[in-house]
Amino acid sequence: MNLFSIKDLTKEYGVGGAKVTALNKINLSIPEGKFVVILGASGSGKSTLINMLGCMDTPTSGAINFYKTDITTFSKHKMTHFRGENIGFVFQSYNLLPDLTALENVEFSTELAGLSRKDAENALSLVGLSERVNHYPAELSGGEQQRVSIARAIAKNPKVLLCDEPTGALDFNTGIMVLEALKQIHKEKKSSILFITHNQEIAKIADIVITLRSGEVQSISKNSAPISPTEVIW
Amino acid sequence: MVKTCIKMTMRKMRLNIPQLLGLVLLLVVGVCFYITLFTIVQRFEETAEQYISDHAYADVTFYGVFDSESIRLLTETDGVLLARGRTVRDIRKDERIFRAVSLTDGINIPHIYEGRLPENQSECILLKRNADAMGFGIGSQITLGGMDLTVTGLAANPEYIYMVQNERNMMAQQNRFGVIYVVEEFLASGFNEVVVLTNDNANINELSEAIGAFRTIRQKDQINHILYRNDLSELGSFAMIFPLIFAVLIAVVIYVMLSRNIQKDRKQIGVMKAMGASDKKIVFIYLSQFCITAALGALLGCFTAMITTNSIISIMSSMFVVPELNFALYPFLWTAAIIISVLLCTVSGLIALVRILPLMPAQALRPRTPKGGRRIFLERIGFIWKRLSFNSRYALKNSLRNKSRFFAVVLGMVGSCSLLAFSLGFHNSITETQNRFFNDFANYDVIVSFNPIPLTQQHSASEQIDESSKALVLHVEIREENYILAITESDFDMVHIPTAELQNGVIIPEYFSQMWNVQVGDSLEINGYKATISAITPQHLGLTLHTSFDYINKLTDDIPPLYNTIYGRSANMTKLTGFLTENNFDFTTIDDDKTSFDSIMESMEVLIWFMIGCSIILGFTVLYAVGFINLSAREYEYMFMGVMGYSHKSILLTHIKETILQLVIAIPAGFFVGVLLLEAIKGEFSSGNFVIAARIYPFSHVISALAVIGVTAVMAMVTSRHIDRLDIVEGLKAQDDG
Repeated sequence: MNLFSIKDLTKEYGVGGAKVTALNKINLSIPEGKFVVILGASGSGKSTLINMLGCMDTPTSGAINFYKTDITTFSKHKMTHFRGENIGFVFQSYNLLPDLTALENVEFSTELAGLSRKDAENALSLVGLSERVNHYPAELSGGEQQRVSIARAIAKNPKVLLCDEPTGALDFNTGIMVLEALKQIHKEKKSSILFITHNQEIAKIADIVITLRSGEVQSISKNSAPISPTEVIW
Repeated sequence: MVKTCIKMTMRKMRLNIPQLLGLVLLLVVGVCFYITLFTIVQRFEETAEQYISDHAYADVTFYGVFDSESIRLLTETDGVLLARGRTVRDIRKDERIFRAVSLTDGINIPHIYEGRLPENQSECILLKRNADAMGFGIGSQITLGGMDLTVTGLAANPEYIYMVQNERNMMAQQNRFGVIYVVEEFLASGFNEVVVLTNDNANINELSEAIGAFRTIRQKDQINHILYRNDLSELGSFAMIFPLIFAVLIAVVIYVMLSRNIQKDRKQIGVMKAMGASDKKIVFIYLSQFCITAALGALLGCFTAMITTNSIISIMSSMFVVPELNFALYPFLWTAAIIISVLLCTVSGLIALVRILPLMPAQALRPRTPKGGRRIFLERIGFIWKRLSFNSRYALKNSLRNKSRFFAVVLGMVGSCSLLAFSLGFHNSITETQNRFFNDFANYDVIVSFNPIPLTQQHSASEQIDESSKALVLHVEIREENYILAITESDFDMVHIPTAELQNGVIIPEYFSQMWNVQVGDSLEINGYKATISAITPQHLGLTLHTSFDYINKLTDDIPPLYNTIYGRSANMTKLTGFLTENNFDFTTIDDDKTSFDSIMESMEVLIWFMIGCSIILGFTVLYAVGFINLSAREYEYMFMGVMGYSHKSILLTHIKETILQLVIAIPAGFFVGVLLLEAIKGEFSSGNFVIAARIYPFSHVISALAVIGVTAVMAMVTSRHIDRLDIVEGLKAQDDG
């Protein structure tokens, strides 16, 4: 079953008097339960696409069906509700709330979903941060912060994890650690993961690789034998 | 969700402590001011009403010559509940005047603080305020008219809530004018006053005619009550107007503060939105800290008001005496103040939040689009622009690029400067009012009052006065209110009015012309006669209409050729006052009038100093809060300048140059707003007895400007220290991370 079915999706931004087309009539189907990498250079429209899929922004035209529901017709309130219930975000710059500890950052998400503190603790344990729950973001390393961010995204058991270059700001070893964590979650929770990167090596761990170029889909390829994150080298 | 939201709110509050403390201080001052004044007004009204009712203060007092028969007739008239005749006589004893008033059973009952009522001709009770000022107590002896009186009690009376001797000498000096109550036999002569309690059926004019009174004063027209009510009304105006100004400043501070915080937390808000947090939750996180602060500040303001109310009541009690007056807590007032404060913070906060709430999470997560740079006007004037240092050019361009932040600081400075200029100006206006009356209007040294005598007859007092002028000072009715009319000789020059116009009609004070909406040449009905207004003059105290005997004779035959007042000038005032005192004349000197004015102003002075104190705290707090916000807004910019290699001194210089530019705009604007405020409220503080002359002296402008510059300089020092402590690397990283 398709998680997302995208039809003629277009997004244009107005910059000054000029118009910039970030996505140009994209048509895509993303199946459920897969680790999908969206590959592309800077400015290819990856982040714009993921923002549309996660109801973080509205398209200029086109439709996005989440299962069978067109999410582009949602009101602002419904979009908020949709994000809280179905989507987990992992950002490149972690985006943890600096006033909350690691546990509280995850709790912010679980409380929104009506889950308990235990769920937050479990998520942190899953990313190997049981010992660092009471630390504030400023007291954690980049890798730890990103793992808290992943825990925050998965704690509410979303239908899909949208990861916007989560290894972009990390060193190689920490990046591998984050990839492993995501792979493990994919395996254990059977979550669908959409992973944005410009790193072709990372694309090798995916089930499906979608390549974007200048706001259009350049290719879609299925990976019959995805490698393990430990085998990735860049 | 609520749990984490509350934690976030609390931690954000901890981070914002300096700004929130500023806000608390603003609210404490604003709420304290409001609660204090409203409590005082409310307490005075309630207690005084009770006092007046309990002590049966006469509804009307008739003046004239009355016998027992006319009082009996009055008692039997419909609408009269009780009527009593009494004798009132002013007796001079050396430098003091004692007003002896015969006690009236059931009307104007004295409130006895200690002792008892007099029982025979050799006993009296004395007003406690006089006893305190003159050093008398129970058992003291007062010798009046050759008779010794023993003080048997210390009292107060509703007819002397304000210590007024008469309309000419409004606020008597308590050690020079005293009131004693004696038994009727002490003043064994006919009654010269009748005090009456009435109900709604009473027709006062008919009663007055029936007993042949030559003057009738209703309770509401009694001069001490007029002054007392004026003071209460001024208090009420203070309580209404100033908290409004405070509220505007508080709203501006909250708006600027929250706008800044939201701009700083833009990315965090985007993350929360991305995680599915609704607008309501985001509003809760950002607004609740201000609501908690508002409630806390308002509550602290209420508690502070308990202290200030009692202090001000005790100071004002020396001006108007209402026994058993003290602080009372009005829960409604407290609740209203807290609710209004919270609402004010909520509304100003919501206005600031409204800009970010409609953004989609992706938009909020992206940094704000930098503002487009544009050439400023000065850049086009090449010869100036080229001569400016980079620092100056940067400061100028920066000011115009970030207009809202720049003008928020300017607004804070304008608010502080205008409040200070206005408060000090209010004080100046009192002095100006006094100066205009005593230096520019009054041209006499002494006024002697006596029972009317024919114009042809020379009064013995005038023998010792170098230059004198006769006048008949009367109470007249205009548009159903009582006013004072002085009918003078045609060459009357004892006050500065256009003397030539006395022959052509009535000269009226400017305040009345505005109140009645009349101009020169219009007619005015005085006691039923149509008089022409011949001139309008500025007059600020004891407003009096002037005309001449010649004009009155043209108008009516009803006013006999009598006079009851001599205005005079004398080269030797010591000799003159000695003569007048020796001969037991009723007189006031210009110095007495000045003292009287100062006494009246004492109650207002208390309020003015309270207002100046509040304005100073408020002004400084606004500057501090706005300065702090400005500093936190520019932190990144200063760090970036540091990265570029600018020295601490250069960065500080940029800040100072921008601040100077702000001061150059704000100080004149502050002066202008201060004058506007003063002009706008002067009407609220003017009455038929006192018209404020709005004026801010240059010295007050200097003080206000220096105060604003001083606080700004302190903020510059804080900035310097802050710049010194900036950790460039960590700061830039934090900014990038959001």
